[in-house]
Amino acid sequence: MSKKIFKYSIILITFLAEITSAQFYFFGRNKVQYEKFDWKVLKTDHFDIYYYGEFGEMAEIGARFAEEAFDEYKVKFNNYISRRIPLIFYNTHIQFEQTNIASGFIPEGVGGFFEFIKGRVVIPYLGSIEQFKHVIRHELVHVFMSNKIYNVLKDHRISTDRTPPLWFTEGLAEFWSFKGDTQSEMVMRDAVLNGYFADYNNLYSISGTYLMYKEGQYFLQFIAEKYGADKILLLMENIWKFPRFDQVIEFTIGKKIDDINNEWVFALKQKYFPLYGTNYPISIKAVKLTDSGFNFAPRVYNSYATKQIYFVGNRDGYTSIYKMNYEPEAEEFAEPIKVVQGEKDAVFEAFHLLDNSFDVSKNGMIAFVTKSLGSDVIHLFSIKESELINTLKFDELISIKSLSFSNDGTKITFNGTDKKGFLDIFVYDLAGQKLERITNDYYSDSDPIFNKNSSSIIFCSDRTGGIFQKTQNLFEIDLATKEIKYLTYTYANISTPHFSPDYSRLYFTCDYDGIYNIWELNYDKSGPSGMTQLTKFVTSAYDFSFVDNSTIVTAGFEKFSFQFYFLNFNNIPDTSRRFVAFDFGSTGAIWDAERIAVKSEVEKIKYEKQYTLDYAVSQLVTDPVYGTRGGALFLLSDLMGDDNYLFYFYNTAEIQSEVLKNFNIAISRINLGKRANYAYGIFHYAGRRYDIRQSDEFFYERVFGGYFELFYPFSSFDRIETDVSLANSDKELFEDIIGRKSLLLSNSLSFVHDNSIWGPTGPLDGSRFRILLGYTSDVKYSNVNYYSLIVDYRKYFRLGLRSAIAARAALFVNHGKEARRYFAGGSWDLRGWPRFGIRGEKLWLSSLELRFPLIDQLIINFPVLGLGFFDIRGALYFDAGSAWDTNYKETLGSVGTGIRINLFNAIVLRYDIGKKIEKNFTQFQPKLFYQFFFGYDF
Amino acid sequence: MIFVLSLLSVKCTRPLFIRDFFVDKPGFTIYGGNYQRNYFLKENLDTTWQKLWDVETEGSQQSSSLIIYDKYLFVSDLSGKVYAYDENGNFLGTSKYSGSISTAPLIYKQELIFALNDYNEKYSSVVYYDMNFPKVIERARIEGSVHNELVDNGSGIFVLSDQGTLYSFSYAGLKLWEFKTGVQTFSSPALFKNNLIFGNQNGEVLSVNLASREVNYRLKISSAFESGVVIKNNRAFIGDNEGNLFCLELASGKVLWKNKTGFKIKTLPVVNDSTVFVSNLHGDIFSFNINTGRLNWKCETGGVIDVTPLLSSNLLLQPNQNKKLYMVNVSSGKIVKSIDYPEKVRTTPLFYNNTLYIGVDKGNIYAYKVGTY
Repeated sequence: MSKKIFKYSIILITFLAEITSAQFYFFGRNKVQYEKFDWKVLKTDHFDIYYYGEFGEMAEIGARFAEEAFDEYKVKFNNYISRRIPLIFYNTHIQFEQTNIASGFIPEGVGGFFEFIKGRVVIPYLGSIEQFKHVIRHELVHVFMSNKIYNVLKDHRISTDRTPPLWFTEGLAEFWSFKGDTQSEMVMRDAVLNGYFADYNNLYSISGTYLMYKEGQYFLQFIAEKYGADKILLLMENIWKFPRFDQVIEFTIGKKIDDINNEWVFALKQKYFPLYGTNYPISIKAVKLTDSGFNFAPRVYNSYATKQIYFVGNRDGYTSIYKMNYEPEAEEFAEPIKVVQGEKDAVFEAFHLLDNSFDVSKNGMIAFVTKSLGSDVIHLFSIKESELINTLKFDELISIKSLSFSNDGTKITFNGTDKKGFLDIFVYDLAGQKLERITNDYYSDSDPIFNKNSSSIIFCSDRTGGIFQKTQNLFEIDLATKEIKYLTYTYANISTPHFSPDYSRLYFTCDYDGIYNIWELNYDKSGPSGMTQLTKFVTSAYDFSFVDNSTIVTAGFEKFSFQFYFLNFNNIPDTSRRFVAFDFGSTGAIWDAERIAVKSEVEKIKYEKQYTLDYAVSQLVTDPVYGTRGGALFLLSDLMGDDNYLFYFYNTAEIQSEVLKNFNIAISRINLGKRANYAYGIFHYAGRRYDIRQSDEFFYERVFGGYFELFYPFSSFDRIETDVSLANSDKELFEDIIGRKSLLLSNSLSFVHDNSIWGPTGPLDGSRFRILLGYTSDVKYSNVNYYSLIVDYRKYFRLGLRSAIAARAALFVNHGKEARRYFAGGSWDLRGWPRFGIRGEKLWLSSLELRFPLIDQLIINFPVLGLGFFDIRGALYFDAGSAWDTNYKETLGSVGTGIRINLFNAIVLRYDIGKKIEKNFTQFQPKLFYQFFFGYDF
Repeated sequence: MIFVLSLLSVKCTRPLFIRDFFVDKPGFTIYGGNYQRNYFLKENLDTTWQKLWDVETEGSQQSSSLIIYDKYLFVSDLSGKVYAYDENGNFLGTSKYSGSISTAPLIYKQELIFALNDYNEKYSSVVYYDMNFPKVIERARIEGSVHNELVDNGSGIFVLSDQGTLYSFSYAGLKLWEFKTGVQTFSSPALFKNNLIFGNQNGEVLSVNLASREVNYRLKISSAFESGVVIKNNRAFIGDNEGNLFCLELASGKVLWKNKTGFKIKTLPVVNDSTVFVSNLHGDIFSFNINTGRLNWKCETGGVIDVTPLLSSNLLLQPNQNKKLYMVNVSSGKIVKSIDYPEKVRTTPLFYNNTLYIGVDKGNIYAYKVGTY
């Protein structure tokens, strides 16, 4: 967020000449650039592949996937892309989150993206070659689709801003990039069986969600299977013909959309409901222990004769560590208690919720992983002491997950990603404080656990060779000899292995029948012989932990939520257990990842910045009072988005002779490539200005000068900002009669904090504040000389998942000669009072507001069209404040209620009703005020 | 300002009217040269060309869409316009419709006949435009779109829609009958002795007698066809979506031989007396013995080919989506030369009176003087 804000603040500076010490500022978290990326370019036939550091080997593997996909998609889309496609690889998700190619924050769940302006594809490597291939192919489908549709529309001279709906765009990318996986099936199966599936007419209601991706994928799969694979391309080739996409579908398929929808829904029900003949919901065979939030990685800990479950969960928007009593017989669900608050400070900056990154030792030590500044770290937290004991950071590792203690609690094994992108097994000795690397190759090794005496590690890996090549099987590595042997060999994917408490049996989750269920490894005299299926859940079991040798607590996915269940294996009849034997004779040689053939070293070159136009807008305005004005704004940046140039031209002349006199120009450079973001520029502005000291005065001013700004983030939550500007100002209060010259030097220093999380219309939790000190002085004529102080503190007290009390206290002070006035009034601060009508060199504000959900969904159906409004929220508020120059005047206030609607995440409309508190806070106004405006809550 | 702009736009739009338009003049008025689509230029072409002129239309062309009649060039485009130019590239006029025209127009007497895929409608129109008046004299509606070339069998016009319905129209624009196959069709038909042969999306090849409307045969031999049919020496050639080129016995539809190219074929095969050439979407060009189907050579261009080439005695002129036009040696399959263009090459090259016409995105037509020997 901060880089976007930084860029926009520069644009704001460009438009408002004397923005220094201005009242409008931003909070926002920071996208911190911890790394200095030494970019290199690998040029293939159709791609320019950007990578850095030691990622060369993986870049060549990725390049091969990209060229193979290009070869396939040019035929599938009947479309050849002539321009060279930039592919940018990051070697981990943590570093991918630092990219400046997208200005906003990148959440954990984003596996890559295609950016439309410069046609860039940006992909993180997550440790698995197959997953890397899938994401590359997925993003290239976007590239080809957007190019194809653009060409179809341009060929037919139809406006090229017509796009297919998002479900089609993402559904196609999934459908044409891979054959599907267990997770896709799991989500669709759960949605259909549990009734939250959105049919075609309701796809808009799940727009942007993972479910939308999957439903889009399955809808297109249905179309291809029932009506022919050629129909998918035809949908794109017919997009010019009708303004609405459902018309395109009807025309292409030759059926009404409702009929197609009905057929699709029926096909899905036919596919999934028969599963109830052999499988059962988790809640039928297991006892539910939690009922809300997202809950992962349960670990049972025996504490003073009671059992507790420690886990990673997200129940309020912040992922944290929780504990709850293990009470399977209780009538009510146990209420978890937060043990470690996550994601509000730099120490526990971000958890990786979906990763298995948490364990509890028998002697009461919790080990968990969070992102902390530029990499993952392991925290050790003592349950008994209830405090953080240590934090382990490894310079050579960027990402860490899948922690597991040894039986005696003296060692931890985990998998880590190094700078080459390799995901390998590591062991850390807690006593000796020594890290040892166990595997070192590009195979994806995960979920390691120690055997009973810590002489070997069992782990999951895609190094499987032979006929089941690249599936994720179970392996064991001898820590002394480093010899790796198969424990399983099957056409399935295995994860989260766990020993029973007495180490006599090994269990794991496996998708052999297309669903993640719990299996047991079987042995005969010679070693592992096969596996037995214990559960037959119809959705999926995830990570689990033993209560005793036959009872587990497992995380299960059902009704699109991850909850905990307790299951006793003895309750599962033997007749429903299935045995699958292994044949280790067909394991074959381990596979090698093929790379692109790099013809010569010339094709690998160092990255040099090349700038292209991102944004250009021009405007011409004419009105009977002020005449005609016009101008243009251009924004250029380099390929990585690190270096930006902004050019702004505008003229406000009202008559021809004033054209040169009223020329506005600003040139700025904004650099986001390092941890400290900076900007500098020059400007010249001339024209009429509105004097905010007096309501109806304005004056002509000519100002020119330069500025420099610096943002330095300490973490994603805190930063300092500083700026300095020097501006020569010539003001004419009455033309050629009264003027004021000055050479203004302005400085300011600010500290900003923001760890808030937002609802649809404003923050709901956390806090944010800004402290600013500034000084503005006329260094030539001494006409201006004042100090500035701003303190703005906002805190949000969570009442429920969607309700909060928001509090604000702010003080604004400008003190000295010709100090600028601050202003308040209106929907953004003192509600009920005239917007910007309260002015003074000193200003204080305070607000208390109760924010709550009002109407979740409002659908209005007219005969021809319908309108839908979602997440309409309500507020009860109290505001108080005042503004003065030298002598305090009176305290003003207001109370009232209001509603807010977020429209398409673009604008929030607000409507407030209330009463002003007048006459120095002694009486309410007689009538009500009604105020309509826009803007997010404070 | 708006008034001035309107005046300017009016001045730039000239209706399609050719004062001295005479009937029964020679030209190259059929896509593929004739309705068997087996046009073959029996001369050798020079590889050095002299550009005579180039013009810009407003839309883009589909694969065919250029015809020569007398001394006029007619171009239809995907923005729903038909243009006329003289032999020197001078613009003579245009006629605009709301929709798109994917196929080449036909000339009958003074009529220009073409299929318009109407915008925002589920139907298309067969438009009869009278050059002498000039105006649309008839507009017949048909269901679906038209991407298959029109056929004139001497007694009327035949349109095969993408819905797989065959329509018969009189020269006056009256619909005489329709015949539904029930399967989508994106395969331009060929005509031989009043029998129309085409493929469909079910992988069937059909032969329909246009006089009796009887189906001579309807055989499923593949998964789907989107290539057109070419007829030569009582054999029909067609490519399928899996990249197979079929040689069929014309009378019965029996498969005489079949050979693989590996990727979808959307173009017409082109034939001479001994060889059949076909290109696929992967950008590969193949030469097969016309009698045995044995592979002579394969040429890989690396682009995407969905435009039928022009075959001469020595060269195959192959347009490509990679913005190149390739000159391929017919005997060896070697690329003799390639010409770069600013955009994708979109039309089958049309050679007439020692002039070669090529259409390039987005709507540019190039004319070259090309020597023959």
